[in-house]
Amino acid sequence: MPLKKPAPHAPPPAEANAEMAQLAASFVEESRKLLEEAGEALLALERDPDDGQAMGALFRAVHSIKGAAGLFDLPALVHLVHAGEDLLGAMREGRLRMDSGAADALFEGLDHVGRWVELFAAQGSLPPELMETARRYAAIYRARLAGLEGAEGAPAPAAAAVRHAWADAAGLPEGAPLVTIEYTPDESCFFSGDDPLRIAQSLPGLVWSELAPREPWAAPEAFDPYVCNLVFRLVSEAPHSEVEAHFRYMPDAVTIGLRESEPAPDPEAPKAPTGPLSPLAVELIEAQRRALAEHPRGGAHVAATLRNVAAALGLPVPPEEPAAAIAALLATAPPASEPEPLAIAEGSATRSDTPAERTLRVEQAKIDTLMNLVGEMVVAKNALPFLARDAEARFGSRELAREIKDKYAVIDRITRQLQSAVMEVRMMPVGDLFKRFPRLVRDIARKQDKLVRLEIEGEATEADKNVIEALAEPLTHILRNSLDHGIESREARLAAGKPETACVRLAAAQEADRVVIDVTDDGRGVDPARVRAKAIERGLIDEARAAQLTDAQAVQLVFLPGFSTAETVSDLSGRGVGMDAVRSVVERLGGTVTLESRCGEGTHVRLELPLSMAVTRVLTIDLGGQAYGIPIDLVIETVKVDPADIRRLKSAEAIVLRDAVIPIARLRSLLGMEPHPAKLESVLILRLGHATIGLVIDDFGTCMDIILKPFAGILAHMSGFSGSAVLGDGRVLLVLNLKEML
Amino acid sequence: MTIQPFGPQPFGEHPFPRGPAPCPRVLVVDDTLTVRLYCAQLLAREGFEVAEAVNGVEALEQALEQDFDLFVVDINMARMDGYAFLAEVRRTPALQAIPAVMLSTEAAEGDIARAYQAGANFYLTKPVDPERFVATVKLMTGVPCR
Repeated sequence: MPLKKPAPHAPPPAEANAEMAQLAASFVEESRKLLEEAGEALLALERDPDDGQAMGALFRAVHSIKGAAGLFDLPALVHLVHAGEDLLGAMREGRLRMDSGAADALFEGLDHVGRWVELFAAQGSLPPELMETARRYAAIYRARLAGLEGAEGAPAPAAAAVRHAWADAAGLPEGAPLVTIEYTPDESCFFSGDDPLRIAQSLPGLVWSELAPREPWAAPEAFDPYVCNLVFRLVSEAPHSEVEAHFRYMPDAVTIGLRESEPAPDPEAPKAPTGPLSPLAVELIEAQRRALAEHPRGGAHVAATLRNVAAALGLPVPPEEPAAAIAALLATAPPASEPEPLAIAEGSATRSDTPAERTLRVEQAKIDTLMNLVGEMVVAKNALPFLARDAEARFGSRELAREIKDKYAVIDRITRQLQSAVMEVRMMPVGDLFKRFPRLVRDIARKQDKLVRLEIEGEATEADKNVIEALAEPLTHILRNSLDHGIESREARLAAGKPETACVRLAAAQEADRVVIDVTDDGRGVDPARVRAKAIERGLIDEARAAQLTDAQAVQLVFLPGFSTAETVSDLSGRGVGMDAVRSVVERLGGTVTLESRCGEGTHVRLELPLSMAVTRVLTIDLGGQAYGIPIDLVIETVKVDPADIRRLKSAEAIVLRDAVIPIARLRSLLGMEPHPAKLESVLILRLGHATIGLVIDDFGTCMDIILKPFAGILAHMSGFSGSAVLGDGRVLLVLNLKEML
Repeated sequence: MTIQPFGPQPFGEHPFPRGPAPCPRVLVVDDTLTVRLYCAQLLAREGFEVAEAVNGVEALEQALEQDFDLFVVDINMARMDGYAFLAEVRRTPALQAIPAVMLSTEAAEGDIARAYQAGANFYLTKPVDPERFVATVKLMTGVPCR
């Protein structure tokens, strides 16, 4: 008796796919946000299990993920989240307390869900094996609940190797292999959104079915229509796996057996129970009875609903009195019907007239394109001053030159505004980055049995998205260093007279056009003696020089490539990347990193970064007729010096500027060019890290904004240059990387 | 038919001439964007006009400004949850006759009872079967089902 499958009324596939993709993208994005919120709330809860607000937030986040995930075919994810939600529910109601064991299990669960969401984002589906993991975690969560409620969480019955006795009794003749299914919907299934009849009817390959009461029907006056007392016995010719997949959301309610026989088509096979009204309509009308009973003065909305239901079913509009209307409707007996799809009103479109969010989601690529165009605009406008100069020099029109300059001023202003507007769009609060650190610190501290409090300040400070994203790794490394090497063990801290709980502070602030991020800890600090010893051992510095270094200078040795003070390579840091990696990332972003340490009192690492790295301001210089660029933030001043004032100190040269001796270098010799004597030497006074140095060049040029393009391909390894830019007049400007050269 | 769940045009400026029967308007109140989007897509396909709100407060503001034929309400929401929203609706003379269906992941009998006490007319549990959801909305708004 193959039951008719309900005809789905779906839109054309292409449209449905687009809708589904949109829905999936929204689910992924939202889940990421919710997972983040859940993680934060869980951290807060672990610190303070009585934090009701965090409990509420955590529950809501998990709950929302479950709700949204249910729209997709993600049984494993739903299974895990559902079990987690049950556990959290018990905690929210105060029946169970959050402890670090539960937090660990929940954190791991959240991590899995996070990975699955990403997997779903990448592949559009999840491999079925994940159900194993989901079951494992569900069992862990249930075990905690079971500890509470006694013997709950018994293992699910083994699905395979079940032989249903009724299948023998049904007199199914021998033949092709068949799958027998006994489906016992949960008693409260009507309240959990299940529709057992539909689930049974839509079973693939259904060839025989029987519907029976689980227990003998109760007497009419004791009958509870809200309790499902049904058992479905089904036989399918579909493969076992397909049947299992069909019932994947209710593994506990189903036993699946194999039978090497074919059922006799039973002419008396019970039909699906169909009432005079569609089941849903009956349910709805019944619900009105309840709504009326439970809501005081509930006449108006109940009456309105009943009128609508009657209208929808094409029944005479019932009387105003709700109770009478319910009775009248239930008594009506039009032919049974499934609600049929409605002919879609032509041309009707949906709109939400008040968008729920006033923000616009834009792909990052689009903003990047905009930024690149603005960058090109900045460069293109630089052509105008050249044009003005040409107008005057070649065509002798001073007036035209002035007009071009005027227009340039206008375009320059607009371009700057445009640039800052686009940059603002790209701005992101550092809080988005900092969010991940409480979890990191917690995990490391727990592994090392240290007590650490992470204080975060200035989350609202904004910087360019690229800067923020590039900072994730260096900051992670600095924090790991701090926890691994800086923070002492609990005993050591107590012995040193420090509080047992260590404090790591992560603070961001904006200073002028730079973002400053401070990471401070109250650990043991960096030991200059150990750093010296290590640097010598690694052959990074010789003993004589090491001895000359002050303690503050010695500490800076940690920035040398190949330096690592970790005695043993731990699981957490010291993976061969050290502070030199941090420094190179920060410097690539155009920033600086400094480290200060007081032995026994703590370490302070400061990162200073530009707000944006899209546009670089450079000073152009002239050298042998070729223009070079030097980042303007390195330049302190420019001076013209009489060659006679350049003092020779052994092989080095220096000048005295305002009573300070400044060593100088000649760019020509650095680049391997012939010396070029001049009446007055042009010297750039530069700041490189902590040092001040003079650089002799041929002549100064002008300041300009450029879009610095790093070298690619075979030029990528030229460390003396940080990149190139195209000038307004089409010439190529090479930007010097003076930190490497000097 | 194109789906524009987030279209910026207000109800009044309908680009097409209205048919004889205006499409029922449904207000979906849920703090989860995905759920709102899902409901909007399903209902839009059937010719409903859908508005959205992320919590009870926003929903009340919209409900007082425009006419709706049905509220689809989640329970767990920040600022004002579904129970409070429904209680407010049933207290407000202008809104008290508008049917409401609760759509929530809570499946405990206690939650369902609270929903009816607050003034719900029906209760659906997430994840809801799309056909069941659409059929419910049709029945509750009086859209012919046959």
